[in-house]
Amino acid sequence: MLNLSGNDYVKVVVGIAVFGLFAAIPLFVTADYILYVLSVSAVMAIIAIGLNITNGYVGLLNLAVGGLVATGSYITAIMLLRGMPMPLAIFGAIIGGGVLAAIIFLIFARLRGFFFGLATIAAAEVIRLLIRNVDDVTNGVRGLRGYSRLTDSSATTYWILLIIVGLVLLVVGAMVRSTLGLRWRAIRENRDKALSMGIPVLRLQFIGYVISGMIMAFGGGLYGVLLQYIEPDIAGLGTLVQAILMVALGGAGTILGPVIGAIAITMIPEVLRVANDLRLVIYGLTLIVVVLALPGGIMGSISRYIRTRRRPLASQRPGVPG
Amino acid sequence: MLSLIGQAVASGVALGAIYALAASGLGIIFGLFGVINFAHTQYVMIAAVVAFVASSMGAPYLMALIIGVLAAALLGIITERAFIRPLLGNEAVQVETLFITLGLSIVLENLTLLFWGSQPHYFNNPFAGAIEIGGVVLTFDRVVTIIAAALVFFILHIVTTRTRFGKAVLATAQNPEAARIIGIPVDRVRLAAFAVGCGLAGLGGVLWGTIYSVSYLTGGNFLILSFVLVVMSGPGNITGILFCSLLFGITEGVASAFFDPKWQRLAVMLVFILVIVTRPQGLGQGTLARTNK
Repeated sequence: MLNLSGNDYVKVVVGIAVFGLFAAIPLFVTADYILYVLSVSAVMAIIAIGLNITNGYVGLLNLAVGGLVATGSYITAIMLLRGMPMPLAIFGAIIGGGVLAAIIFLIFARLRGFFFGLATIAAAEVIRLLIRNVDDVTNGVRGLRGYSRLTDSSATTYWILLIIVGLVLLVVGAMVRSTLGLRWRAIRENRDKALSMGIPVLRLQFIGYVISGMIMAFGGGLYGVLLQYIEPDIAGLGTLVQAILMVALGGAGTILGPVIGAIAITMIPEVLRVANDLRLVIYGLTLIVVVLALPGGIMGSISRYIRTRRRPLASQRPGVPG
Repeated sequence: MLSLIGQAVASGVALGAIYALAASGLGIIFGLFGVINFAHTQYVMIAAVVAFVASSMGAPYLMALIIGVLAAALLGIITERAFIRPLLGNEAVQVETLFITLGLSIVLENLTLLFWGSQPHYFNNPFAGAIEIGGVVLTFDRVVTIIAAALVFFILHIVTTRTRFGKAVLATAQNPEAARIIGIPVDRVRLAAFAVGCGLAGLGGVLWGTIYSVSYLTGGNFLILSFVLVVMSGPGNITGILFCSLLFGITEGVASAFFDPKWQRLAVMLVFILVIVTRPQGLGQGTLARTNK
């Protein structure tokens, strides 16, 4: 399945080195606050990786991010509050996310392109309203708190999350490079052509959407555990903006893009030391600037730079439709 | 019982009239150019805020309303010039405009929160009193809203089907290049459509503020609903938006009268999902439908 070329070995070595660098941070930085911020960006990275599968690879506009993330965090929190162990609670979140994503996809599958994306917002809104209204289970607008943590040490928590991000990246990376990923991209580039070549478009979109939903709910579960407080507005537009921004900033349709985006997005408000009220304003402004000035995101800009230096543009190579 | 149903339907119609005004501009802009403006319902909020501020500074209601609507239209023009036009002709224009306007929406909402606070503000309502027909009571502000929506949609229908401007708009929608060749000022037509669409959203906002209240969340309140309305009525189906809005309004009215009001939005979403499952192409195809691929 994995087809490594010389270039890829360089990537593997660089990847391990970067991972080691991140793993070493708690050895030098002991401030709980910084480790906490790093942990948040790790969780955000998981959510962004999940979103990138649909929006970046399958070419399916998924705007139900908030609903999927909130489902994950609520399932985990509720299971923990009922005394179930952490792994089971997280597993519940993943399954719940998968089921929800499957339902959303099956309801709206017949909508094309943009209309599908817009309709998925309604799905997220339904989740938000359900969480608000079924308050004997979810505690409504007051939210949930007081459930168990991942670990008591912020360094250990960070390491666990770092390993999870690494594993998710490996799995998604392998998926994207497999035949499945190739077909996803074929659908993204030209849905009708893919269909005419016998690619089961709908089934592969379904698989992509469900996997994406599972990963986002996984991230949502960890998010709630990390924050120790969740409320219905997690299913709102703020989460959507943040996730879209992470993917767009890092670079949609690249493996590492969402991770870079997640780190940047979590760090920017911390570095600027802004009040929480201003955070969303900054996210919104960044999103506008990224779309106008940095198409393809950070990763896209890097690879475009490398490509234009090394070899002719993709559109100038034979056999590649421009 | 009968008057209870009548009351629920009547207030639902008034609510639906506001939804229709808020979503109509979105329908025009999306139906014409396939441009999704996620900030659209923030013009609803901005108009209401501006009108409220004007009114609290002593402007008579009608003048405050006009100022609010003009502010929304102006903001629409700025949005089109600054954010939409630079992206046109780009392959991924739809996704990019969606992202940009999503960012803009969040910025407008939170800036209003920062500078105007989170408290809801109440208009000095000029439409005191109510009318009563057969046990159904409808306040004057709601009556005015219903009349305004009916007028707006009548004029929209006439303009898109009977006038030269309407023809220019349709031509621009069908084939911008060809329209440009035969001398239609495509850019100006699009700009005008944006201004009108955002102005209508603003009208909905001021009327909403008059009946209920104005806060930084006023726009967010309509956001998801407006997009749901556009998806549900189908591409380019302007009159369909009016129909779906009334359906939504009445659903909300009935749901809040017979169940807990907290379920009214969920009831609306349920209606939407039912419609999409049975008719994924939307309820109907309007005058502009064939233009939107």
